[in-house]
Amino acid sequence: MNAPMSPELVLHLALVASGMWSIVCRLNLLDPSADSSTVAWQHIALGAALAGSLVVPREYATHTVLVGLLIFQAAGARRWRNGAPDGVRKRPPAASTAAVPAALRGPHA
Amino acid sequence: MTTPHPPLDVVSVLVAVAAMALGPELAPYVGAYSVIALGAVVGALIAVWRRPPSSRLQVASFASVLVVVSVCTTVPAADLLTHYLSIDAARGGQWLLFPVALSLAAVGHDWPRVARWLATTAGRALRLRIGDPPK
Repeated sequence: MNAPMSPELVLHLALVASGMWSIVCRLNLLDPSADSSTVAWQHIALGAALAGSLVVPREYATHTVLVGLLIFQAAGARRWRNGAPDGVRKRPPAASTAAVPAALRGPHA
Repeated sequence: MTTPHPPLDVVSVLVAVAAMALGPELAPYVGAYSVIALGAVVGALIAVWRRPPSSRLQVASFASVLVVVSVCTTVPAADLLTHYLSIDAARGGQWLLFPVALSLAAVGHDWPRVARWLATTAGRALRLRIGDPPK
């Protein structure tokens, strides 16, 4: 429920439209029969919050998006229970140079 | 003496908010249609997830059509529901707008199947009513 067009409202609309478009594109690629329902519901909740931010009074728009973000994070908490999910985890630190044989270190080592 | 409770459903709250921003004449329409549009958008997201993957243009037009059709059909559908469920529309029918808009959009690409099922069910009910046994 926002008052007549202002630059802030135009920016808000553009950002919400961009966010919704990215959510739609991702949902389009998620397999509904596979084990992706958590990810899909995360995105649907975030989309609802983004759309809701256009409906609620302007002073609560930020809170609406933040609630959506919190739901997104909370819904994905199970995937993060044992650290980062597979495929996005950082590689373990490389072995120290002392353990690398001198022949492999090169002439400037 | 206790003051009567104002209606606390989300449509009434949005109508009150709209009345502050836009004045009392437009508020009932803007408040109700904000809720309907929100339900339609969420339903369209669910429908996009449920359908097989397709090109971005197809998805964009599919979601847009769903939102528009859902926004246009929600009020009559909610009126029908309030009539058949015997809900007092003046007191409690408004809360139906969000779930009806969401459901209408979320059915998505399954609408032809749902329409066939509705037609079959209606045909059976009609035959039962006129005394012709179902085949």
